[in-house]
Amino acid sequence: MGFSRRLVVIAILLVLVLVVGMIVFSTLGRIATPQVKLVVYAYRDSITGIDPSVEFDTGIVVLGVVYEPLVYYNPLTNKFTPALAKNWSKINETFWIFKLRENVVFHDGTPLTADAVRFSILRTKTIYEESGLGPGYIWDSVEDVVVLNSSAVGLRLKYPAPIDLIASSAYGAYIYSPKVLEYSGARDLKDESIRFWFEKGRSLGSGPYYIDYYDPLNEVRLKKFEKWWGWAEVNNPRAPDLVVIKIVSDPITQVMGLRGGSIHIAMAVPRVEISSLVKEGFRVIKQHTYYSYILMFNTRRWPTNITEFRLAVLHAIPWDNLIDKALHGYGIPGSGVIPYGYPGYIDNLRFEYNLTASREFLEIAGLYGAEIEIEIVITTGYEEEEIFAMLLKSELAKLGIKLTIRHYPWELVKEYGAAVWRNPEEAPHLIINDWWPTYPTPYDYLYLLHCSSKEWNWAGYCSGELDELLDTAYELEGENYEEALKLYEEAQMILFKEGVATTLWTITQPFVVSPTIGIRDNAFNPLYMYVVWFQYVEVLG
Amino acid sequence: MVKYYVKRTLLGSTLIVGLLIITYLLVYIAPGDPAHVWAGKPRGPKATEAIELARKELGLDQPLHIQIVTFMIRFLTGNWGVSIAFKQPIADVILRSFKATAELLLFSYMIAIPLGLALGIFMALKRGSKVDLLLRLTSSMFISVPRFWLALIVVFVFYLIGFQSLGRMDPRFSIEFKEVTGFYLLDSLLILRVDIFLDVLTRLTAPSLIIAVYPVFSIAKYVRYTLSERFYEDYVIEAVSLGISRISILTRYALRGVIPAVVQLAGINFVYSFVETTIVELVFMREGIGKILVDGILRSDYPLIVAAFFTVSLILVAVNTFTDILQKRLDPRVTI
Repeated sequence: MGFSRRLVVIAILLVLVLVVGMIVFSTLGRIATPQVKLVVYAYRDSITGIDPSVEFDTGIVVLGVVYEPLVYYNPLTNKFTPALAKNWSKINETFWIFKLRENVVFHDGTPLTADAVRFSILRTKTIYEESGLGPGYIWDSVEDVVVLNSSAVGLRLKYPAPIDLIASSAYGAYIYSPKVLEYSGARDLKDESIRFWFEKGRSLGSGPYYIDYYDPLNEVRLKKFEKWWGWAEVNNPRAPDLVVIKIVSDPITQVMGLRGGSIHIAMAVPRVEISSLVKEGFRVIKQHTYYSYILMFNTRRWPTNITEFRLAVLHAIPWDNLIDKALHGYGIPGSGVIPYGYPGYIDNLRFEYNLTASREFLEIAGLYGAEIEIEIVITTGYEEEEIFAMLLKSELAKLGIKLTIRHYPWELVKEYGAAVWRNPEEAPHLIINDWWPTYPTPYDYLYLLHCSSKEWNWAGYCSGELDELLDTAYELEGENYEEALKLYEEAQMILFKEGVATTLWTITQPFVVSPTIGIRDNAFNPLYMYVVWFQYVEVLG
Repeated sequence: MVKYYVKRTLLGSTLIVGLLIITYLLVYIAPGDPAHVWAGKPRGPKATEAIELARKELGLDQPLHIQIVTFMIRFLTGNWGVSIAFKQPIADVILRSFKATAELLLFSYMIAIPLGLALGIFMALKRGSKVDLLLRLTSSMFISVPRFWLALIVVFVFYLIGFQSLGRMDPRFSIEFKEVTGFYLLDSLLILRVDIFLDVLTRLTAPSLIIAVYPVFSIAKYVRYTLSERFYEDYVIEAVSLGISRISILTRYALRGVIPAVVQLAGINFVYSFVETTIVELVFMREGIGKILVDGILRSDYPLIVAAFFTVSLILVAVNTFTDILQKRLDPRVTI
């Protein structure tokens, strides 16, 4: 055999050995895979933290499964469900008692006690008060948490507040073991070492799953907590033993993972791909959320500082087909600022697509026929925002208004948004602020337009009348909820009439699910965005 | 040689410190607010206060030159701090991802170097033939094709034939898998689990082949041209006339002069492959340095970005130094 032939043979053999070896190995590997009930959930963003008292962002997908609050609330059904508290009652305007469930243990085996509730709430509240970190402001009304006995806790308030709603917050209401002090070597509940102890991938909650492995950039592995109090109630022998929350930022890779069987539930599949996946046997669960895209006008820069100009733009938005075009049907049109199904939502605060009305508003403002250029800032990679901006651009062109679209990463969008207070000319005329809830109060969304909300009020809107209405309504929530809702409605009317901001849409989240996985109805709660409660998931295959 | 090591170390260190400062400056002027990220995107009435506190805590309220000096002293004395976005010790984040990237790259080069050499020699021996032409065209095509596209195609093909290529390991194994070194292939052998080894190997092969594409064909092309030239040199012609076998001429004489340059080329390619790996890792859902850089940049996590660049620079300088030394060993005529 000639040398060159030998070389060819060697080269071919090398490749063949790899490919054949891979095929054989893969087959053998599959046979040898352990029989574990596994669910891989593809999530889009990296996890920003897992300290239950501090985390206020994407960490909810882990926290929501690993920790539990005292009570759950679903605004869609307006129902409370007991979680760690078996029942609760309002003794008077400023004192509430929560009786705790028996036989609850945390992931380290220590029992749930009133001390644990006191520790968790006070840590969340104190961290916020001292450093502004986390969602601890939800407990602002709490003066003290009183341990009545080992299984009952009292919340003494500074002012009346709907504590049952606050205790059901998706952020900042989780209860965990005070043993964390000992494990982290912390001096007191304010000690930063507790935070870093959690962030190393440890969990001390009481939820149905605990953290086994934590790599915030790539994956989080959760193992079934056999001692969870709720397994008997859930009665799901097919619940996964192992859950992998896999960070897959690329939507196409999520689709490939679904098709290849390495992903079982995906939340960021391109909407145009969904119908073909359904034909292939995948299921789509359309989950209502309160994740809203709020269009804000720069009220401190010409010409969006003119009310009539803002109203002209709002009437140029093609509202009728916006959801179909921008979201492929996966959304609910906005009405006012508060999302559909959320406390304080009003159904008749919608603008209509009417270019004649737009022209009339422009004439009133003395701007009809004038050469006007405005800009909108949208977030890079948010396809729906891009489609919206393109639609608006084409409609505004009919009115002689030139719209420049600028795309930036989210961090920069935020910076441009907040610039409205520092230098209104630097901030865009229009900007989209995406917002999700903490606990179910209209204040959560309307505070966005409060004068003191310098970080998130990207409209730069400052109205004493609105602020007073909002603050009064917030304080009234604990005493007279109905009256508070009326005040919130008044506040929304002001924003509507002045065209300061409006929700474009609220996202309907499609979860694409493999045919080998079953999902029960209660696996989702719209307050817990992107959280899948895996105790209600069934591994069928 | 000692003088060379000292010179190289000094040069490398200066280069890395310079790179660190440039990286810090780039991150500094880049949009985004690290204080906002560190404060966890705060809401509520104390949001502004939280961001200001975070700014102080991170030292971002200091003048730029003081920030740089403080940061460099801390960084170069081994205190890499905590990731602004992910709140984990940076050294842990980097090490964990680096091992995954290193495993992928090393495996790719274990495929690329022998395959590239074999292909290059074959093309040189068959120069001018139709096979040579075909291989040269194929080389050019594979060198120019975008790697992310190739990766997507491979994932799709693997899906069609029913094989798993995504991730580093079947998650089911994670229940029994014990990480020893962080290199999964090695760890599976250390814990005596052949099934895990096979699974890891399967998932490693596809991305490795993609990364190997560029070094394979660039080495092959280089070897082909260099060897072809050498075949016309006097010493080769004389050896042929003396009746020495072709294999001896090739291995003892012609190839000997090519290998040092191949080593150097592999070193240079390694830099390119490192960049490519970032894309391939994302497509194959693998952890790695690339993911750190992307996430770090998107979240203004400047300590993480600087640490990742530092690690990458350190490796590239080390690889280049190593290949220089190896080249010198293989070819005494080379001066360094």
